[in-house]
Amino acid sequence: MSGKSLITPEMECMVGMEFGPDIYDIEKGMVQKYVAALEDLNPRWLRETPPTYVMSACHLVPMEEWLMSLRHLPNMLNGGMEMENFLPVKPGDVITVTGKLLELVERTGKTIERMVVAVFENSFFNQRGELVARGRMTFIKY
Amino acid sequence: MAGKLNYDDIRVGMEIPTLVKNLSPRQLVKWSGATEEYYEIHYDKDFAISNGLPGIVAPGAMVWSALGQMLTDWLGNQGDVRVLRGSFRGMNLPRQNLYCKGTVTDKYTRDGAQLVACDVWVENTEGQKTITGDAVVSVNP
Repeated sequence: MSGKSLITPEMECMVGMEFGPDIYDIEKGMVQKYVAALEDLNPRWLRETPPTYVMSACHLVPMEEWLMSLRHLPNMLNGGMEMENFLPVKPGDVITVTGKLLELVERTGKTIERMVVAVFENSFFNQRGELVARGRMTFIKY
Repeated sequence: MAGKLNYDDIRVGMEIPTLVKNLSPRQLVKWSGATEEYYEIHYDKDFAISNGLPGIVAPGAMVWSALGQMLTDWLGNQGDVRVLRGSFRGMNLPRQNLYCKGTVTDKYTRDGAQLVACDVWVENTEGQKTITGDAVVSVNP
């Protein structure tokens, strides 16, 4: 790989850093908007959230802001998502999300010549402090 | 949505019923509002093209969630999605059929739970796999 690294020393310092917390009230109306967008009419989602809801809707805003602050890498794609659910989440729950930057790697590709891949691990806790889900998100910045 | 799923009837190699999604641009806008994720590549065509994309693209999280829907449709009220992993390998375009598919790869019990492992993926109309991954579901006794 020729040229200066896309990963600056300032970015490298962020590996292992914790982001957040952000706090979300799980509202029945917002869950219904989510399932309406997806056209998932399962009546089960009137009582609890779909298994992918917290990962999709409970954003870690400081993480996203940091990614968007990387001006030399103005474009972003989602490279993948992984989730493990431990407890159900229901309307009325209050979810706290925190995250950690696990790794930054520079890669080359066929359609995107040079990119930085950032992997975050996010943890989701309910109002009782119970871990309800944990997930990883891979972002491609180029 | 499927009827009652019976753990004893699940076999390694069996296919999970395919879920076909055809996401409209309106659904992409609804998703942005519902998840409060407003990245313009999902609803602003000019912005998407300026980013080197063919046009607006569906959020990876949305299509990954459709894999979750495929699994919960299969499970009915008979279980839960414990794990869902997906690598996003290609663009998912609106107004095209996307085929959410899966096959059972393993059955086992752990800590009293009846678990089923699956390979899951999304194919577009050209047969390209835009998301590949795996999942673990629990099936109620």
